[in-house]
Amino acid sequence: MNEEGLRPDVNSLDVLISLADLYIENGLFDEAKDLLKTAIKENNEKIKPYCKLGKIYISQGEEDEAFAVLKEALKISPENEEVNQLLNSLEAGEIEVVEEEKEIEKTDKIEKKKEEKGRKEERAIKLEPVSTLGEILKNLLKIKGIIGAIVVDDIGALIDAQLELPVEQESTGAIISSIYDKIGYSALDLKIGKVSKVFFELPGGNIIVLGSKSLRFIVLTTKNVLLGGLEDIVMESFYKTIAFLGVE
Amino acid sequence: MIKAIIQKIVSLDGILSCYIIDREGEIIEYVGKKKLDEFIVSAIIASISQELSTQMDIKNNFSITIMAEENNLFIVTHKDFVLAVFTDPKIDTGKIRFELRKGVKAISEEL
Repeated sequence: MNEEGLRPDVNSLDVLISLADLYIENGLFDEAKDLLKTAIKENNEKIKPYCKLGKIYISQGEEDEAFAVLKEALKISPENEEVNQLLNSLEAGEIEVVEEEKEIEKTDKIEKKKEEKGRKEERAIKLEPVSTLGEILKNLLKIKGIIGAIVVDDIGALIDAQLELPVEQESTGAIISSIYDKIGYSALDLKIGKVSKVFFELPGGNIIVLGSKSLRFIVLTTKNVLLGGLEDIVMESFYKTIAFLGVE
Repeated sequence: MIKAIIQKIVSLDGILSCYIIDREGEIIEYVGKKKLDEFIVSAIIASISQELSTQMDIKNNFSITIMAEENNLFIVTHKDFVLAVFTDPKIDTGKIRFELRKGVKAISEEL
């Protein structure tokens, strides 16, 4: 509402979003985009217009523009599930170009449900204080998308693991550790310096490996997660593990 | 034409060099701002990719992002080739992965 509180402010977010929805319903995507750009300019702390604009860009195959607007959204709300999922799909090339407005509406409804679910989950992912290594790893598994954590020493011997999937802890830890070490040696030959992190994006899921002199900290994730979004929380658990074990 | 695709990749901020390597480690194409021994680089990149495929029994495409002190190295595999890019360490990794995916698609259409 405007200052008088009597009639809607034409630049209020709800009005702009409603108008943009009307344009989308009628296939007027360029007009909807202009309106959403105004909505972002006038309400640049609100995530909704960024997501909606990003989805229009995606629906029209304008991936570079979608990427840019969703990256802006991520700066405002780094843990927003909708933004992370859209960015992840863009990075992985899993979003198909759809021009039917019904597809956008359908996606909106699904995303609204996800948004609500995401808010509940965001409240639950704060890492709690811990007293054992197992608890550090179990805490990590509370984060959406993380399905396993393995800690091995510098020769690949298992120290601890928490897994939600049926894989053999010792051999998985040893194999990933040996590949990480090979990459570490190769990095020296390539003169790119000491390796600190490696991300593997594989057909069945992703692996994040952080290494120190004495430890390899391995985190397994589902395929559809934004690896960059997990980086900070995984780093925090890695440093907690180093501190807990009292190693370098 | 392939050269034009990787020239476009190298023109992005923070990208130092780009290699297309066949699965045996032979260089198909290379563009770089940073001087590296391209034969050693291609052999090492092919070897890392091969090691991961073999050890983890991966038949499909995959990618590896290596973050090191001085440079990052992005490796994206395709059934016929490997695309590898060296970057500055403080680059936006998501943006690079996004651009490389587009690059892999364009290169596979050319080969």
